[in-house]
Amino acid sequence: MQRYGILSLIREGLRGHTGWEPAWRFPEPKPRYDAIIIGGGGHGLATAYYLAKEHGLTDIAVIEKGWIGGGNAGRNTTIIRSNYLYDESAAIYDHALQLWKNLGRELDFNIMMSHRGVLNLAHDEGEMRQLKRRVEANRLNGVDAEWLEPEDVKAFCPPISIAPTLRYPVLGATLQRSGGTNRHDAVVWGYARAADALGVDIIQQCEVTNILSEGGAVTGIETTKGPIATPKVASVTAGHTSVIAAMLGLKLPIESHPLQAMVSEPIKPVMPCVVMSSAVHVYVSQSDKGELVIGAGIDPHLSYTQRGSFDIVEHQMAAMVELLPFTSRLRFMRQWGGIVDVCPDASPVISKTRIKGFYVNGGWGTGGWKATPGSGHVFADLIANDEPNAIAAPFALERFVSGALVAEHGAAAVAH
Amino acid sequence: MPRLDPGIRSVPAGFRMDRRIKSGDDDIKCGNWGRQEMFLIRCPWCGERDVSDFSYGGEAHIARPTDSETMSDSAWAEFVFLRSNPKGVHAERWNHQAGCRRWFNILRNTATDDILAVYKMGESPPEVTANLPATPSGEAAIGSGNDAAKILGPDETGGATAGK
Repeated sequence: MQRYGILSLIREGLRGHTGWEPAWRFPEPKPRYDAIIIGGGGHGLATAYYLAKEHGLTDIAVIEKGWIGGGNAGRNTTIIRSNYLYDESAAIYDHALQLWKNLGRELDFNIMMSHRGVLNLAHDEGEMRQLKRRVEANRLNGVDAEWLEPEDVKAFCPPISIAPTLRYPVLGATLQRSGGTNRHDAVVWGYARAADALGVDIIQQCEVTNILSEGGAVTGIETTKGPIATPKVASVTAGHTSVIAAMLGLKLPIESHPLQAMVSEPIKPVMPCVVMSSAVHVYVSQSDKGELVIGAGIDPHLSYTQRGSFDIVEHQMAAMVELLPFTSRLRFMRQWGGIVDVCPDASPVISKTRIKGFYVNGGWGTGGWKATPGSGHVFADLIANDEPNAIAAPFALERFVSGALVAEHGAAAVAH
Repeated sequence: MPRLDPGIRSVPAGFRMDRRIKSGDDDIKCGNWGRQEMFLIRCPWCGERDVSDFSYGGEAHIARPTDSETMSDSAWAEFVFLRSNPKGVHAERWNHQAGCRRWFNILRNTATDDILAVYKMGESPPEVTANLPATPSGEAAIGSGNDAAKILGPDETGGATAGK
């Protein structure tokens, strides 16, 4: 793998940038692999990378129907945090956060990780108590979290008004200083480049059309580029998890919904951190280009169309202007939708299935991006060992039979 | 010359999808209600209203088990949690929350958001035809919001603007 750095940049600068190698290959699929990962997004490529790096499984392929990072990896608002309420969630999201901290160095790719802090605002007494409880739960789990009084919120994030006369007054906020944002493309490209260097075949423009099984065990897949034999198939297809599982006759506790986001025109730096408000129902950060990046809630109905309804956009804009009145005259440049797979308990599925050799990683709902490295790390472990590790185990499909749900609806920063 | 761009060299611009059940623009038979697009919903009692008038009630025709005292935990899990979640025709319940507050059923193509039929509670879903994606996770020719991840068929060039 060609190393990136100041020396290679100077060297290439002096010779007209003619020496850069392609960051990854564009191979044709082989007739057989040891394992196949369906879905070349952040989670899928991370899974492939950790399978190759930590489990020595290098004869594997990532099959992507479009291009890598063109699905939800390219559609989210890149907010990183791990301040979830329950032990199970804190374990996996904080595992991811610890991996994020060193990921750019590990992948030799600048993922533009910015630990600028994430504020979760409290607008009423009940919410304040709930968020304070979450701070204490986080601290017991070793997740960095603190409670800010209104004056401290103002000092940390000046554009927020703490006037007590507001319709939704800011009574305080939780702050996770290690939270922040990063660059989605860079993460996808960094994982792809590192996985490719370890021998992983990344096959784009190739859709999986069927998964073959015999005697209750996976034997291979059919694709638009022909059949491929493999004993292990791992679905990491945010937005199409149910569609992939249906190829083996499996029904999942998942429904797919559009989730919209949008960006404003670029403006001077105004937002020093990520701000999330559950009551007003919006989350905002500012990209390095200066655009305000805004997200909110899902469309309530099931849909695979990546756009969403206009009334959700209206609601999102109203919430934005309520929280940050100075944005009322901002122009918006882009709006888009992605499809999120939502589980009934708002926690993901990382699981074996009753088909031997078929693994599912999905149902991350509205918050999968932040988990990318942790999700790939524990999922690779599950695929390699055929048993979930301690972090992945609570997210098995069996929880919907046993009733041991990880009910994070209330603990997610934005209502689902 | 090698390029700096580590990503894809060509982006498919044009794309055709030919596996329609019937071809043509007006191929969607919609029961008694005519062709409807999201996000206007025709309430069987009030007529056509914006989708924000309505609340979504989930998958339709899931009968509550009658042997609840003897059934297994996994059978309960199936009833409570498992959903078909199809990319295609979906039977679902809606409530006209800001109107007559009555429930009704809809058949909708979740790949395009075309509403194929509206029918009352207790009725069976009518037969419809829908414009489905050519492959399980593909995109329909019209109505999909996803122009990014469309797949080129083996004999397709990707249209005039696609590169090598």
